[in-house]
Amino acid sequence: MSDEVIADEAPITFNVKSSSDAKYVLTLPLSTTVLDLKTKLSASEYADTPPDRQRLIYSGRVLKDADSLASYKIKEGNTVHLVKSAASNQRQNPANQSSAPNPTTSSSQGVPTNLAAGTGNNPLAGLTGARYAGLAQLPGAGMFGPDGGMGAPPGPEQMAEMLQNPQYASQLNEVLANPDLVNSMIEGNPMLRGMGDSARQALNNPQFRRMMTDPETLRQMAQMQRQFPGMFGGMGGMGGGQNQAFPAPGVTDQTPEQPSGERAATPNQPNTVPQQPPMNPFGMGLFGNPGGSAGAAGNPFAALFPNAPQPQSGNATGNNASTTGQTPDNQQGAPSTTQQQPPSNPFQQMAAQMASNPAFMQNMMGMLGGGNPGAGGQGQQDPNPGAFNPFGALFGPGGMGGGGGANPFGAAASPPAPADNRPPEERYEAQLRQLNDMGFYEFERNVEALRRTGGSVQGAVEYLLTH
Amino acid sequence: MTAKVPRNFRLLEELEKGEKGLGAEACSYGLSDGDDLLMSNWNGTILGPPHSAHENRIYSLNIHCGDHYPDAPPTVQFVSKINLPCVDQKSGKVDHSRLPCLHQWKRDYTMETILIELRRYMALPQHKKLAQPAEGSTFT
Repeated sequence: MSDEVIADEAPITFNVKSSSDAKYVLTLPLSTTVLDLKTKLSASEYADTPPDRQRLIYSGRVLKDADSLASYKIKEGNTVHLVKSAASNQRQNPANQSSAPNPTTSSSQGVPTNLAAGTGNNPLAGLTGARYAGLAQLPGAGMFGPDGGMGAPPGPEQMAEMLQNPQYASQLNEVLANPDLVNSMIEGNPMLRGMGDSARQALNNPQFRRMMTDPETLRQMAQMQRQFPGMFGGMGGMGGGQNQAFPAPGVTDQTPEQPSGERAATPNQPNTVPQQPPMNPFGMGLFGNPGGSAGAAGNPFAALFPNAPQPQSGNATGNNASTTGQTPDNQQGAPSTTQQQPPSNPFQQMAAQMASNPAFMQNMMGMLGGGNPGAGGQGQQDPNPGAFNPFGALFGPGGMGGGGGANPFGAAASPPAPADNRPPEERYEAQLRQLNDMGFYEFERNVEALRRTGGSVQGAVEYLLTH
Repeated sequence: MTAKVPRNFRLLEELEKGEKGLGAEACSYGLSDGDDLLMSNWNGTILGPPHSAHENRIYSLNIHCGDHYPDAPPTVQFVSKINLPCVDQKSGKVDHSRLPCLHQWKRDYTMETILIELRRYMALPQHKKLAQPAEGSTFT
């Protein structure tokens, strides 16, 4: 068909599905006629049916022998249905003659079917029913936003707000108890996907789930986060990168130095920091400390939270690849290491001070937040790859980046990004307009979607269509 | 909580599904004019259900998705002649009131839903033996 010849003569690969469920994959140039295709299909390795008994259907049309594949705009990856007829009744619909387009060359500028807006393949599509109504505000799925979730983590206020919601715990539990949803969360997030089973385990871990659903812990966390925005990053960094970040001459290989030193200082004062205990289960995991021995030693926050938490946290973040070296109750070196600590180690000092003066904590936190934005960077060299911080996963991609130590908030918060306090309609003005133009009119949801995707319209559309 | 999927997104989804053949085997559908940005007019085919008078026949239909689709059902019209109670014997139009899926249209029904339902309708015991016009004849 000379008038069908298309500049782009590259062959396309498409599927032919026969009524007997057989599927053939063919690669043919677009100029191939339907009759040629049928002839090819008649070969024994394909349908093994004479051409005159084949009927090919594509996109709601019966293909006519004389036409080329291009005239039906068959595209890469599409599927043509093959129906074998008993008799060789080669009649076709005259109506198609009139309606059959007579395209000369325009196959390339058709409708953008690759928009991938479809929920057809989306594993989440089935979950958008009433059963899951209201789940959109969960931290789970939403935080793993299309852009990795880091674009706009929920602010502390939003977090706090969310935590006020009494349904939160049960919803979250339900979500996490649903293996499908967990799987799709994992699938939908490149970072988690890379982690494979450990992510799944973490989400399935009842202990982890309990932590997540304990509003008290979460509120504590949000509070912490508010108090020192740089912390999550900074701590993550310090966790693994301790040796570079806070050199402690002479004790570099004394793994439990800081915790134990701290314990020595405050062995029996659990009450001096009354607001802390609920926070403790997060102690290690939250701060990106992967639980390796180096991490345990280097986590200054281990020092901040004396007493029981470390063993606990080791379990709580039970998916740590290496909890082995974590021996915080190793007291042997305690007295001596405290002596060895040069006064120049600010954290040691501070920790000691803080232990006896809970109020001092505030100052310190403030200082950490403001003064150590760079610490997060150290996390990138975290020598404990594979360690898994479940909260890191929750909060975004950074957590996995450099191994356990690179806490996500490192990426976001160091240097601490100035908070954008403009109202969403202003911040996302252009994107909202685009969404409106596309037909999404629900302001609240649009804003939410944009927020979750860091202002990416494409991501927001995907989010809107899947939630 | 699901956002109301706007018309065009919905139709693009359906288009992709139709082209990729992800749906049911026996039904196929696609845009009648691939350049129609409004995606209003569609072709559909139904492969006649086995063990019925429709066996081995391929029925062609035109589907028109109006501006209010998918809030309102599309209009469906047989091109191939067919003898069915729900089909107007002059125009080939499917009578909405006689096909439950059109009569009780829901927003999440698709064109595929309609085609599958029509095929099921053809295969109903009271319909499958109806005498059919010669294959290849069309409504005009």
